[in-house]
Amino acid sequence: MARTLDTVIGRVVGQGLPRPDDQQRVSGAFVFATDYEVPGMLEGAVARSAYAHAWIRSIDTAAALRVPGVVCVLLPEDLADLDPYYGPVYRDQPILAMGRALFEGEPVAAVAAETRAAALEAVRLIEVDYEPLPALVSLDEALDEGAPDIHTSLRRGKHYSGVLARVDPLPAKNVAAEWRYERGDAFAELERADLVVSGEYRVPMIHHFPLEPMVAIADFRNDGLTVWSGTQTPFEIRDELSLIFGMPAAKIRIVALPMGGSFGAKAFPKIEPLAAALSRKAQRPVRVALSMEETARSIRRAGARVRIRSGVRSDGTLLARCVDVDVQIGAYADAGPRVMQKAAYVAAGPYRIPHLSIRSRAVFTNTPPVGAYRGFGAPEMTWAYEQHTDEIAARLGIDPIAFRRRNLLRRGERYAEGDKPIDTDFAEVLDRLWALSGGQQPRRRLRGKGVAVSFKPSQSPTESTAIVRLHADGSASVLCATADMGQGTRAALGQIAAAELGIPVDAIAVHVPDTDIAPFDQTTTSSRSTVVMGGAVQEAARRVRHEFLRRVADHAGIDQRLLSIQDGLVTGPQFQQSVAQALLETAPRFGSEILAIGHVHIASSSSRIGGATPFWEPAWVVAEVEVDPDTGEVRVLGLWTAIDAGYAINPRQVAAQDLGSTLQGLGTALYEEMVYDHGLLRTPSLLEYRVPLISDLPSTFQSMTVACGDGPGPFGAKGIGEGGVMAVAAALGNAVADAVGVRIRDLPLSAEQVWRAMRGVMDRQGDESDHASTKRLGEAEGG
Amino acid sequence: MEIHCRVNGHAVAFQVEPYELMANVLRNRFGLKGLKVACERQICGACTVLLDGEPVSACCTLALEMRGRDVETIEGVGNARTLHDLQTAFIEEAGLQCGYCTPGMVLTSLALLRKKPHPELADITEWLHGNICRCASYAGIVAAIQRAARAAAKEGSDGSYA
Repeated sequence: MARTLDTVIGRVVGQGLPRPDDQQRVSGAFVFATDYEVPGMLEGAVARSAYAHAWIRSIDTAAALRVPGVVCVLLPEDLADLDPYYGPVYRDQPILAMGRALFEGEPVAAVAAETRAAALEAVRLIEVDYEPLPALVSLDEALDEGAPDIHTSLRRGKHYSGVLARVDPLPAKNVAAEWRYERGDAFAELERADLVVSGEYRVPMIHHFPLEPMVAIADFRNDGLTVWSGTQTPFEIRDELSLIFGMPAAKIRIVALPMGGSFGAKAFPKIEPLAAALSRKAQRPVRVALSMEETARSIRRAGARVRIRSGVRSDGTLLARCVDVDVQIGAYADAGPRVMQKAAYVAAGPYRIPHLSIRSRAVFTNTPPVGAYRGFGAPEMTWAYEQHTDEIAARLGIDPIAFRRRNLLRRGERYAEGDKPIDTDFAEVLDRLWALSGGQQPRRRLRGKGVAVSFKPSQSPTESTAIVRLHADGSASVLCATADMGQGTRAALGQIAAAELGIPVDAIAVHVPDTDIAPFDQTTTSSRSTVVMGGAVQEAARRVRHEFLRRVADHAGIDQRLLSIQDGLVTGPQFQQSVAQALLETAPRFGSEILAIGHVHIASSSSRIGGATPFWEPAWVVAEVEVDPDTGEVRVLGLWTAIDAGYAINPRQVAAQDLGSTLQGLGTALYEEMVYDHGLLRTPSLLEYRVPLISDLPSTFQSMTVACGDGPGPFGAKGIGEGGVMAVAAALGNAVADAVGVRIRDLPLSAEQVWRAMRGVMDRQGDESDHASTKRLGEAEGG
Repeated sequence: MEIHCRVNGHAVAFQVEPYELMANVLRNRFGLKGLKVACERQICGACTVLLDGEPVSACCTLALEMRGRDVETIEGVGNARTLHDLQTAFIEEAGLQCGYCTPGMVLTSLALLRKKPHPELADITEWLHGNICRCASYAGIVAAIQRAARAAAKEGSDGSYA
C-alpha cells in the first residue's frame, strides 16, 4: 500500500493526545459505575460476619422484613437450587456464608429494598447467632498442627485451571497450593560458594483502597441476566455466573462500567453473584453498592514471608539461590494461588543464576481473599530480592550497581526455560537512570540513595478479539471488552484504530465493554491490553481498510496499491475523495458499512507458569532519602523511575501511568498495612490507613520511558502500567539502609520501625543477619 | 424544612429532612453527579463542593447548611463543551487518570486560586492535602494548578481568579 509508517507514527500514534473522555472527567459528566442507574432498581445491602471465623447457628430476619420498603431478604436456603460458588482458581467462595463464616465481613445475608436507607436499616435488624471459632491470621497460626481446617476440599475453578493444571489443591492443611521450581543443584552449590548470604523479608497485607467502592447492578428477569459492574474481567464473570445459575453464556450480559480506580481490586467476581441472586429473588433489578469499608473487607493484596539464601563467588558472581516464599492468602482463594505462582516464578529476580530452587506455598487465613493487585506478586518479591542484592554487595565490599551490572540478565538470555528471552536492557537502563539521578552523591549523614530493578511476565496463554466497524459516514466504532479504570488503554486503542484506518482520532468511538456486543477478551489485567487487544484492533482496522480501498479502487478503476488514506481523505493518482464520499459512492454496489474482526491468541508453552510471556515488564527505581534521627521519619527527596514501553502509543499517558504507579507504591513502602486484630480489621478506612497524599510528592520526581520499538504490540509497543510500584519499596529500603546503616527487612518503612532500627531495638527476634554491617555506596564505575 | 439557596448560580428552593446530607441531595435530588461519594468520612475530598467559596466535604455536611448560601459544584465550573481554563490545564498536564477525585480536586484548586492567584508549592500542598488521588496523579495536579495560575497571570487581570 502506498503508505509509509512515517505518516502515522508521530502523528496519530506516538502523540500525547488528550484522552477522548477527559473532558467529561474534568467536568463531572463522566459516568462511573457508581453513577449508573437502571430504572426501577432496588437498593441492596449486605449483612456481614462480625467474626473472622465462626459457626452461623441461626439468622433471624423477622424484624428486618418488617422495615417499610423492604422487598426481600436473601438467605443461604435461597441458593439451594444453585451451585452458588465462584473463584478463578477454586470455586470455593459462596455467595453467602454456608453455615460458617470464614472472614470478618463475609456476607451472611442480604436485603433488597426500595431505598438504600431501608436496606441498611433492615440489615441492622438482622440477628445472627454466631459461635466463634479460633481465627487464623498469621502464617504460623494457619500452619500450626493444631489449627482448624479452613477448607477440607476444593473444586477447581475455570479461569486459571490451565496454568495451574499441575498444581494440586490443598496439598496440606490450610495450604491452598504449592509451586516449586528447580534448576541445577542449588543446595549443593551453596556449600561450594565463597560466601552465603541469608535474609528473611516480610511484606504486610495491604489493600487497594480505590476511591470508588465496589458496585454491581443485576437484572435477573425475562429469560436472561444482565449485570452492570465496575469490573476488569467481564467475560470471566459471565463464565462464573453461567456456572452458578446454570444458564448459557449467551443469555448472560455483563456491561463493564468505567471504574474510579481499581488496581486489581475489581477483578473476578466480587459483588456480582450476590447482586444477581438478590435480583433473582426480588424479580426486579437490584443495585448493591458497597461502602469503602465494605470494599476493604472484600479483597486485599497478599502478605508474604520470603527467605532467600544466595551463594556467590568472591568476585561477585551469583552461583546459587534458594528461595522460600510463603504467601498469606485469605479465607477463599480468589486469585491468591496464581499470585503465589507468578510471584514465586520471579522470586529470584532478573539475575543470571545457574542453580536455583524456589519453593512456595499459598496459605489460607481467616482474612479477606487475596486477589490481583498492581504488580501481581512482583512488588512483594522485589522488596525481598533487591534488598538481598544490596546485602550481598555490602558483604562482598562491591558497589551495588556494579554488582547488578555483573549479574543482571542481558537481552536475549533466558530467565527460565519455555519462556520468552529477556527483551530489555536491565543494566544499561539502570546506568542511565542512575546517571539521571545524579549518580553517586557525597556522603552526608542521614542521607542515602538506593536502587531497585524489578520485572514481571504478562499474561500467557492469552487471547483478545476486537471488531472494527466503519460506518457509512466515515466514522468508526471499536467494539472490544477492554475495561476502563483510568489507565488510558481505550484511548490508545482509538489511536491505533485511527492510525490504521487513516481517519481522525475524534471520528473513532471506543465503546463501553458489553459482552453481548464485544467479542471475547480474556481480562484487563497484567498490562496486556495495549499489546494483545491493541493487536486485535490493529488487525481488524487493517482488514476494514483493505476492504474499503478494494471497493474504492474497483469503483474508480485505480490500482488499489496506489491509494492511501490520511485524515479521512483517500488519495491516489489524480484522485482525491473523502472517506465519507467514497463510502457513499461505493454503497450501491458493495453495501454501506464495513466490518471486520481481529484476533490475537498466544498459546500455552512449556513455561513453568503456563505460557511464554509476550513481553517482560521491567521496572527500575532510584530513590534518595533523608531520615529524621529523632522520629525515624523517611523524607523522600527524589524518585527516578524507568519503564520500557517498546513504543509509546501515547507518551504522555505512559509517563502519567508510571509516575502514578511509583507514587502509589511509595505508600506501600512507607505507610500501608492492613492491621487485623484476631482477624478483625483495625484499618478499614482512609482515616486509619495512610495512602499517599499530595505532600508525598518528592521535590525531584522523574520518569524515563525507554522505547526501542522492540515490542510485540502495534508499532513495537509493550505493555506498561505496573512498573514503579514493583520497585519503589525496595529502592527506598536500600536508600534508608544507605542513609542510616541499618537494614530493615519488613515493610512498611514506618517512622517507628526506622526509629527502632536506628537504635538497635528490633521488634522481632532475628538471627545474626538482622544486624547488617554498615554499608556505603563505594566507587561506582562511571558515577 | 424549606431551603432557599443558590446552586451554580441558580436560585433554588426545596424541602429536606434535618438529617439529609448535602452529597445525597445534590446527587440524587438535583442530579449533580459530578461530586463523588467515596470515603464517607470527609477524609478523601472526592465529594468537595464550594459553600460560599469554601471547600467542604458534602458527605459530612447537612443539607441544612445550604440555606441562604452559594453552592458551587463541578457542573458550575464548566461543562464538556466549554471547559474552564483550570480544567483544560488538568487535561494538558495529565492531572488525572481515572478521574474520580477530579471534580473535588478542581473545586479545591479553584478555591485556592481565587484566594491566592499565584500560589507557591507550599500553598498548593497545604490546600490540596485533603484531596486524595488514589491513582497518585499528584505531579500532574500540581503542574495543572501552576499552569492555570501562570496562564491567568499572563492574561493580565486585576489579580483575581475567576
